[in-house]
Amino acid sequence: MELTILTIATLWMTLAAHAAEPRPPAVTLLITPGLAPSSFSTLRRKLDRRRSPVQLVPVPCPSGDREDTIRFLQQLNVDETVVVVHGMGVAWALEAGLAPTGWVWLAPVLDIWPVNQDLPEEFALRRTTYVSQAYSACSSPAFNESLRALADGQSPADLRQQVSAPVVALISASDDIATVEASLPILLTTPLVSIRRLGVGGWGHRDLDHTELITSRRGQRQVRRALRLLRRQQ
Amino acid sequence: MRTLPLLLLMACTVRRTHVAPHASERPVHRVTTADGAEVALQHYANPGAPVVVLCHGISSNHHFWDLDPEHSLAVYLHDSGFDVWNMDLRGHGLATRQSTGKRQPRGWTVDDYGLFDLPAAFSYVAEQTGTPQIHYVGHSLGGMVLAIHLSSTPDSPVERAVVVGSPLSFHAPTSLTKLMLGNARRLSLIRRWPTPLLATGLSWFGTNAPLSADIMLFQPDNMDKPVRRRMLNTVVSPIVAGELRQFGQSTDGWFYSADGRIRYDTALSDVNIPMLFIAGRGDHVAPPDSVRSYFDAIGSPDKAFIVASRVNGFAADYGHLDLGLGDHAAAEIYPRIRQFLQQSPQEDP
Repeated sequence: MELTILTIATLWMTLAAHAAEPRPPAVTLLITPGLAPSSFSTLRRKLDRRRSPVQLVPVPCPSGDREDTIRFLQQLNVDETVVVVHGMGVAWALEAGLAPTGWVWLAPVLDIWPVNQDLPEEFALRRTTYVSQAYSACSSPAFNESLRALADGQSPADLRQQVSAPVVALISASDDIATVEASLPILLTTPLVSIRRLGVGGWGHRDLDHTELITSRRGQRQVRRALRLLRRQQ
Repeated sequence: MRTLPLLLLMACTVRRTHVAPHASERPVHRVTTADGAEVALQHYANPGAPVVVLCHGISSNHHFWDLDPEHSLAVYLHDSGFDVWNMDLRGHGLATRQSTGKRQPRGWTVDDYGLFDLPAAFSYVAEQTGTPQIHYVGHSLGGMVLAIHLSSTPDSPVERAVVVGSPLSFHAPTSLTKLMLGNARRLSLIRRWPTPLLATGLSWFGTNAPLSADIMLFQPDNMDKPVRRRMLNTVVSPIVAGELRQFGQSTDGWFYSADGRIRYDTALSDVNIPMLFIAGRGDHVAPPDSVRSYFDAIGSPDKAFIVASRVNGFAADYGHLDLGLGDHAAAEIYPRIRQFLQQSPQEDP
């Protein structure tokens, strides 16, 4: 009898505590241009289990000129949401001047290679080719223009000072596109960013590549954890 | 976790394999440092040739650069026309004890390697060869101690240097690194960590070692099993408390002196020697971003940074130890080190 009362009381207190918690903020999940929308479906489903809406926005590849994508992003209303964005999308979202209540950056591509003039040319050429191949579905002169801007060390590095909401950035050691040597120095000097490095040594037995941060269970779990962290910070 | 006791049990019962015989044939020179410790230098003589000193990393010894004929930067550079001196820092390998059989003086830190061991070795080598200019190749901690040396010695005899998998920062650490750095001071209560024993136990695991210890240290697909076993049985030396204490200073992610006064990345802006930095994409001990912090700290305009990864045209995403001992290191890493050391100042970019 006592056990039953104790169980009911515990259950009631848990539910009461849960109800008292502030509602998690709505999430805008930007689908990275050049990646298949299906890559994001499991992540979306997992985020849907929270008690707040998830808005899924496929971002178009830049077609005519590079500004197409920026203009599209500027039309979005993300003021009351947390924006979850991946890869090249981070650079574009920053350029568009989005001002959400928080950010989750997954494998942010903030630079193409770390030390432009000092890296032997053979490696530099391989890197840009590799990155453009990874986003081949988006390949266009306008997209390549964006890549060149990153390779020249422009844009995100300059735009990072505009970040006015807390950011959780998830990176992975074996990501060959958003490489740790390129992204971490920029992230460390960007205000309001907390960085999580996933993979071996983080109690995982293997590293995650560029898209696995979205598609793997471990990556998805970390996104939910990042959203909880942002909620606590707000 | 349940495999950990098994690993310890196996470590206690396994007989350690023998050292590569060709290495032991080389003459060993012992040098006393200014603070009374002793370092050992194995000499691969090439009289009149450019001189290069090799230095191992933490919990390692001279076998890292000379494991066997197929995995030996020392022999490779010797055959390429260098006069090679393969060093054991105090307390490691041939310098575990002094030549008299006495223990090395207790309580040393990482700083002591850079402030005493390197200068003593460089002076001795310069005196023996009559060559004032020395090339240097350091792996992991071996590269970090060069930073300590260069920051404290403006007139260093080092002419060109290559550092392989050497970090100068520990930002955004993984849970395991965070746990170890955060508890470094507690761990330093044990004077000498019996890492050779643990490594011997680890050598009996195929994959799936506890706490991913194998993948933390090397990429299994880039190191044959027999090489892996030989490496884990011969290359590992104990970690000492002073080393751990100094790493415990890195609470903000930067590498500091033992007394916490010098942040080494800020003390290298006047370093003007040509340097090559090699990092491995699969390195979980010194990931490429931590090696880049060393690259960024060096003031020299003549420096290059390479990440050994498949995407960059290498045969594997190199891990921490396979940068020197991997299946493809002799074909991919050694030639790059040789080319860099052979460049004359006129050829520099």
